[in-house]
Amino acid sequence: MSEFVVEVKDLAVHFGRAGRFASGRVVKAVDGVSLELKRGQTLGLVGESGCGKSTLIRSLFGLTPVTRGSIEVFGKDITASSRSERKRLGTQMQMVFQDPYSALDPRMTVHEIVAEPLRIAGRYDAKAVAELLDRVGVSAEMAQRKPSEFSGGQRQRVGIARALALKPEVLVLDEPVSALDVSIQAQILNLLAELQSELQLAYLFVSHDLAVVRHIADEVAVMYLGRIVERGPKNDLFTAPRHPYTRSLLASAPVARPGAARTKHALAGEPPDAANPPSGCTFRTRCPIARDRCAAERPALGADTAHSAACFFPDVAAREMATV
Amino acid sequence: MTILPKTPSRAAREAAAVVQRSSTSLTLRRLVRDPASLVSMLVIVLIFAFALAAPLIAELTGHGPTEQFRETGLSPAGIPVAPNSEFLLGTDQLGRDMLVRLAYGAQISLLVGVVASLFAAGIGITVGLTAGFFGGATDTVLSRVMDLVMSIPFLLCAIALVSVLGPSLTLSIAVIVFFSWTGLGRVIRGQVLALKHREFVEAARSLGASGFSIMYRDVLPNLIVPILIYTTLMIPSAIVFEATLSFLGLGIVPPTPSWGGMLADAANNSLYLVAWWMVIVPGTALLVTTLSFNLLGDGLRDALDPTSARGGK
Repeated sequence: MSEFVVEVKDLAVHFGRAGRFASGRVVKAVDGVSLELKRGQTLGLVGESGCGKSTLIRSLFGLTPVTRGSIEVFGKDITASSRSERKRLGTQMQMVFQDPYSALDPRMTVHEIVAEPLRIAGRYDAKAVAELLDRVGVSAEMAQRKPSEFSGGQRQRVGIARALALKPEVLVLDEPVSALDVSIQAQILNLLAELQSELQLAYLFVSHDLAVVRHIADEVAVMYLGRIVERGPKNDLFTAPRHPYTRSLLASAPVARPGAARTKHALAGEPPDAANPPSGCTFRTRCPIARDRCAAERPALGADTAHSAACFFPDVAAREMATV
Repeated sequence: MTILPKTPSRAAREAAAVVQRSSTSLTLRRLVRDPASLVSMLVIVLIFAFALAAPLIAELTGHGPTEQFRETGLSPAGIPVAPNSEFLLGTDQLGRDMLVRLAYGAQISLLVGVVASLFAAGIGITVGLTAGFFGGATDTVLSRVMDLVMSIPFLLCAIALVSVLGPSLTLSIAVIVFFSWTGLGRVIRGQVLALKHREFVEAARSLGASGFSIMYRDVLPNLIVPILIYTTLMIPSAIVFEATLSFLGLGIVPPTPSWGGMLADAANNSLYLVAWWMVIVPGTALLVTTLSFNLLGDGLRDALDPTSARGGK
């Protein structure tokens, strides 16, 4: 078994298909993404809306058919697995959803919601459900209530309890705190950190909130238009970003200081149409340091170093955009 | 951890200790507070009681539903008698007691209304759920079938069927069911399409739950509100359908009493010109019954879904 609990290799998810009856537009929502997740570690996945983050994690759970590439969970490729095998492998990887209001069935009690994974797996245990709810800080007398009687933060606790029900080793967290108040965000993040150290969980933490990712992640991958454009250890990436997109993202993050001027490299414009991406480097249309070479060739993410960026001119970016 | 900090769960618990009502009791409270719903519920209960008490009424008056009273029930000229102490709601052209016939007719109307609605709801739910859940070609085929059924003219089809098979209660119910399920089917399909992409359904799917289990455990329970409302609203239209068929002689076979048939009796030979009660009695019964069911359906919608538009209330 490799040192990685989850290894995504060259994953591509394309929507729409060429053919007589198809529109001919192919949206490459995810296009050649590779990720590795280590036991007990957190990988932060950052990007704008529409960059393919959600498609990527949906494909991890078989909710979206994969066009190319492989997803290995504990060395087993789940894209090639049968439904029953996927069901078994799937118990090792669970998901916490973004919107705690729509992620819980409004007609079930909280106890039933947390029991559902156990029921589907055929080993329902009322005591285990009670322990799970207790572990995430939902009191026993609340267990027979419906989600509508819970606050957003408590619903997210219930969502985490449901994800932990089958004792997974990997949690995929799809913007788990973005729908919550800042004070509640901190509580949930602390809970996640406690659970991680207690249960040796690996997290794939998807977010567009850089402050949250900086708080919780060990490693960070930055995604733009279906590709990873930069990845590296958290501290390296935040203190010395190499890709101009990462720099722009960092520059556009709000600063908690009244009267602080917006920095000049904040990101402008919309991301390009994913069905019709620019040639070469897909970021060149918004890049402040784009050169001719960027339109002709597509920069690749170096696989050899811990911190790498898919950019031809990381040093130019560092020099010209260093005003952060 | 001996002293619990004031966590959100604890605060919510303390707040919840003040008032704790289940959603069912809340719904009932909202329903009872709406005067229109309350009155219509009472009226429906009375109509059911009236229908169930039909043999009792026949016993008390001493008049059978098809018994003809040529001496007391008809004037010497053969004209029906107006409401009096013996015939509380008058008689019809054959000297039969309108009150007794109305009660037996209520049995037919309610039977057809409720049975046809339940069957139609069953078909509508099944088809709508299948179409919405499986999508693709299944959805296309089932949706087109619904369009097709909706585009068939009701009366023409009913007349053709009756002329081939002969009028009967079963055929009436079958025809009504065939023409009633599409509305609910479409509503359910739409709701399923919306629910299918909610995250809790995806959560169940990502856990490896089978399609049937998701449909039955996760999707269907969330459709109870529209099902309840639409089934209630289908009852009055089924009652009117039945009355229409009987009025045209295509439904309940005389001499079995039915409200539509009673109205047809009044229309024959323009008897309503001399015997107004023959129109007013079954007509009012039909009107009050359908109005009550419609008001109850509207009330249920408001009570079950307080966020829906309440039209200026």
